[in-house]
Amino acid sequence: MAKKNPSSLSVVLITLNEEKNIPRCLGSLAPLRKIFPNLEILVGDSHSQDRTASLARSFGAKVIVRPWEGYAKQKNDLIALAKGDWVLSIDADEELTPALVQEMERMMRVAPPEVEGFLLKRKAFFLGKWIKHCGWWPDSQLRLVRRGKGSFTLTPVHEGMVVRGGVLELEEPMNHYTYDSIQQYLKKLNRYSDLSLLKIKPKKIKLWPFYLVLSPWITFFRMFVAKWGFLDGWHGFVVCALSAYHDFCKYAKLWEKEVLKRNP
Amino acid sequence: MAAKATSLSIVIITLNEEAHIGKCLKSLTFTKKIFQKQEVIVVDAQSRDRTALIARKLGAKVYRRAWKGFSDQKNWALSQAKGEWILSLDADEELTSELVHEIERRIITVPPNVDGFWIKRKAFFLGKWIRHCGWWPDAQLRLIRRGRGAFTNEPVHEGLEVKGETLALDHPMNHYTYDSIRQYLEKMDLYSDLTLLDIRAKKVKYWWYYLTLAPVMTFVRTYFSRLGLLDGWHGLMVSGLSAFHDFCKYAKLWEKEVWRNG
Repeated sequence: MAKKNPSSLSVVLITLNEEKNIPRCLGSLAPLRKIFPNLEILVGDSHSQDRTASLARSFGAKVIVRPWEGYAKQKNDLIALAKGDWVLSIDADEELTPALVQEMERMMRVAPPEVEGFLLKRKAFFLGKWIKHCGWWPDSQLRLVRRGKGSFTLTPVHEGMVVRGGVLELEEPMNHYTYDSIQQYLKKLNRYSDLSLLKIKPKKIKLWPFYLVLSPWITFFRMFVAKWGFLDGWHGFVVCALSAYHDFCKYAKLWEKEVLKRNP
Repeated sequence: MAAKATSLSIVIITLNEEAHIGKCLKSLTFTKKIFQKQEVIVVDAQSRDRTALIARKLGAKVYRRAWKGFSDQKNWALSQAKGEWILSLDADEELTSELVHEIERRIITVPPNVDGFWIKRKAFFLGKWIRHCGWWPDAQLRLIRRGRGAFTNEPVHEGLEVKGETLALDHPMNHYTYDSIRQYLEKMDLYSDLTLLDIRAKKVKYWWYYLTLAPVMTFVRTYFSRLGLLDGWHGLMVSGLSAFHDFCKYAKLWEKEVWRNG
């Protein structure tokens, strides 16, 4: 049963209006407390207007309120405050399982010093269904690192952590509740496509008509056929089609910005 | 012939329209010679921006009223009007001076059995007039005799209906539909919710065609059959976004009917 672990752990997450997700996410950390008696939970909240901060406090988290300065910066600053030997970085729409907690505990105990981080697989749920294909699985992310060894790279969306030393992948996945509704997808699409414009390379900008016309079809084909998305049924189809439209919107925004020179 | 003076009410409903309302109100340059009495009524659904302030500054009577749907709000606005004629506008529309003159000319000579006029709309998308894609002429019944018409009860794209005859005006107004792709996507989310109410009320049954071929057909219709390709890249964007719009509407139907089971 729950065995005390000699090392200490800090969990960091950043939030903005996440009251819907916070109880599930922080609730799933409860088994960690049994293993790491001085578990530290740091929540970096960017002035949420909902009950995120008070909910987080009720789960024993330390809430640090600060303005939003980009995902990676926000995460890195929070990691810098962590005191544990290990740091686990999670998002509010994610959830640990008891089996994953057990495995984490064991692996942290036996990990040789050259191992500086662990990759965590993620089960992505779309409208309540686990999407096993479409390229959405296993979606491993480096999330558990030795303090001082890992940091987030500074790219506008989908930032990841990096460490210098060795990494291992855990067997047990966590749950990732990506989208609860089509409406939520559309809201995120609008925001992410703005952000991803900043990442498009200059030589791609010149070829925008090409990307606008072809890349939605390529995206759909890659996800639905090459990555077996059809095995996820209609959920898979909707995921792949939304990704294709997402691509279209991204390049339409690129055209708006680079060709029309309109700054909305 | 001697001008027969009459009166005109212009009614506009708003919600967070500070970007447009000024341009709209400034385009209302009717002369006293024809419309001895004029009033501009803005019914604002508690905007959080400067809409009400700008409207008041430009001489409109501003009423605040909680939002209960398009046609409900529009009909309430109509009920506040006192003019013999009522022109119903949206904040993102603008009259041209040619249209203003035409309205004045036609109002003098209108036969008594005519209760309304249709007005064409030039729709602008990201700054360009879209002449195809099915977006033109998009004529709307907008100028009516008071007491002779009301808005019908469709969740989106609700329209006026009148009892008597109608005529069409020659000059179009300007309609600034979307200023940015981002705005299109925001409105799409809202409109697809509203059309969803509509199609569910009509007991439309979901079937696989809606998610797969219907959006493709929408694209083909907009870009090829309705010659969207003649609008250049703007036409392609409008057609692609229309297909996406269709997809979203039906994906939401699928979400409600199939996945969540009602």
